[in-house]
Amino acid sequence: MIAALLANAARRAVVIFLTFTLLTACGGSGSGNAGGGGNPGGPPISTVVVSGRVTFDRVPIGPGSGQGLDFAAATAAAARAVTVEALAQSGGAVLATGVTDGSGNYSLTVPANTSMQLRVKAEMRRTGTPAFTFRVRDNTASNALYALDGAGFDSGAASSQRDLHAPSGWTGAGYTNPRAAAPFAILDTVYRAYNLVLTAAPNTSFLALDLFWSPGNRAGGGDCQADRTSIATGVICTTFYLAPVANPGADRPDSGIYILGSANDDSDEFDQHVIAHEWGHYYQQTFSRDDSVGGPHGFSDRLDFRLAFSEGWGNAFSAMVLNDSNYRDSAVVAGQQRSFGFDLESNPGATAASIGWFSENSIQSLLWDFYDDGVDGIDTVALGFTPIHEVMTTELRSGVAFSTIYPFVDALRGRVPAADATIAALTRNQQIGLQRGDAFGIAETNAGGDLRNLPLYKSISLGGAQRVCSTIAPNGTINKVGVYQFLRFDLTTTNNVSVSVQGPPSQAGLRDADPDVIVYRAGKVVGLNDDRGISSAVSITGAAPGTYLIEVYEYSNVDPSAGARGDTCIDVALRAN
Amino acid sequence: MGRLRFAEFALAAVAALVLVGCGDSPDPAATVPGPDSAQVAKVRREAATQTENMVAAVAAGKPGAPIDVRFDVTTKPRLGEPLEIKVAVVPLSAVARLHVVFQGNDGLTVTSNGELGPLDKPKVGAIIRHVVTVVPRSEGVFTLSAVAVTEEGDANMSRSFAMPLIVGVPDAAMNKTTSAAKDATGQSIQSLPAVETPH
Repeated sequence: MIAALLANAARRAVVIFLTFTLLTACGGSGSGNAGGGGNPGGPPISTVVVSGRVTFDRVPIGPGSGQGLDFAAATAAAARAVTVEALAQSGGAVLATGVTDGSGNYSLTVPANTSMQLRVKAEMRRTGTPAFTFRVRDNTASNALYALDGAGFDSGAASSQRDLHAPSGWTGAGYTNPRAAAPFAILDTVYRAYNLVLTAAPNTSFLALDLFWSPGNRAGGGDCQADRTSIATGVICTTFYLAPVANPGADRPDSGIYILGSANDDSDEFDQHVIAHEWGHYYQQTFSRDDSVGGPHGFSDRLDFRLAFSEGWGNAFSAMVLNDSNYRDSAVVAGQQRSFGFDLESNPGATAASIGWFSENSIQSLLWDFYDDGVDGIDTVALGFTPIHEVMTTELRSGVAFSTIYPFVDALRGRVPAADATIAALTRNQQIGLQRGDAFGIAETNAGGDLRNLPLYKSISLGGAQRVCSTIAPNGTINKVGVYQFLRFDLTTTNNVSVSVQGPPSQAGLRDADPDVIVYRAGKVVGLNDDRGISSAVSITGAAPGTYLIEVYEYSNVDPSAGARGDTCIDVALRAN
Repeated sequence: MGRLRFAEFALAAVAALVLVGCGDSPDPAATVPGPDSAQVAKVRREAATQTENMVAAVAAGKPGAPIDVRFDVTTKPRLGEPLEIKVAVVPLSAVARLHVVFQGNDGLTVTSNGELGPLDKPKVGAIIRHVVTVVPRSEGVFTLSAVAVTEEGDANMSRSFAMPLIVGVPDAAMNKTTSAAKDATGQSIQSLPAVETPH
């Protein structure tokens, strides 16, 4: 394990940057200052070096249970891998640009005897290998990029040092000064997150990601819905990740991570687990596959297994990034700085009421146990991030089954055969049924409160039919176990196929059913019909050989705003056209 | 994709139900520590759901106040301009009489509706809505206090609740330092001032 840690440390060193670029405009400007005095008797000095360190206030969450942000314990942390510019005092032209190293140090070669100011952009950019662009922008100010600006100075005839610090803005009774630390605190967590990925894949090219933060970003009311208009005013509902889509509608907000900033309610810029959790969603969506249906979720919920995996992954990933299993989230409650948290190391036990394939608590506990080097009960594995990354980016990304715990664990067992027995034991300890080589949960016996949920994917063959029941009891509506039902079929030859669903008509006080159907192949939607009516059908022309998944649900159980219909059994038929 | 949201695990000592997703804002009323009975907790929760846009005023002194106070400010406090503060008072236990007096500290003057009640036998759990108007006289962080006096039998109980308000410069400073400007490349920049130390 020590060797593995050292290897990780060496990989991390790869991404400590010392990229100092003097722009071509430098060193001979027409300002009349370059080449000025300061070196009597010698050649004219055209450039000097301005160097220093960039830091920000890192405000920790107090160590005690329930303690919130502890401003008295703030420390000056290095602003790592951020862009530093020297700007001409007149006109604002960029005279030189560089990047801070892993200690926050920068060095810029600038024209001598020139009036300028330093600017630290809230961005981390790198081209080549690896490559990334992460920026913190203000969604309430036309997505402006945050920047920490120094005062004007003359570069003089000799090299000089200038340190820049971004304070939190907290002055004892509240934030009465600008909250300059916030964008850099957010970036610092991103720095740790992408470096974890680079330990496993040093040449990674990351999809550009914007992180939107504002002091005005707040939760809004209970029926909060974030759209482009509300987000421009700071109503973002909660901290969340919004994945990019191919053809976004005009009202769709820009993709990225939106982060709460409301000082009197909930601000997350210093909540490292929260930011890393959302970055974990970005990671899963861009490098792996996330089939989650989203929506509200909690530890005691029995969730749709795609959602359970996604949220469990987010929590586990945050712990991996920070190497800290104690998830913490601060907020202001009744005017007091407070926090809540949980320890991913506290595995839900075999007697817990709701553990299994549908529990984000089970998922996060498992993933953390696979990763960490702590020995804890039967957890004697310490796989680190590399095999987890390999599974996420390979089997989970391209597999035919949905992104759930089953394909993940099965692939991990295959990649780390030496740990197979322990991985299986840990998984079974969470009441998750396993069978080697199975990504569909065929061996599952935990029904999630209703035997009709098993098997998790019902088989249907060409020319055949199946009845499945979309339920809201005992687990609930929207995204809980039972609402969505799944089937699978295999094609051995190319076919034109149709999938039809037929729900029951109104009966005994229940309205007409409104069944919907979606057909997937390897995570991609290949057919969808969500029209109103007690029947729906979808046709797929030229369906290639392979495994297909069918998702069926009663619409009102997913969107209960007009009242959920509840138990609705739907007949599914698969035909060749 | 939401994330786990704030809740009070340790003190509530209840099942770890952590609401997540859009709009699941923290519920201060349900998380204030104290020796409240299950009935009081239930009243708090129900009241909190009916006043979702409001935040809880900070109760001073010991726990066990017979009322909760929540408030909302819908417009930005500005120097010299009347400001309406919407207040919700929630009786948590039966009292014979309830009287609430609103007071501003230095820099904050209550100009109308400075008292609520006295009310005889207010119904437990029934939200009493009230609007207090104040005028900020200077810029800074101020507190509107609600002093609630309840009577039950021979006993009187007084509890104070604080509602913080930020007026003028500090609020502006919190949110913006300068308006977004474009840099030489056309990138909109939200400038934040550095503390700079030359060596």
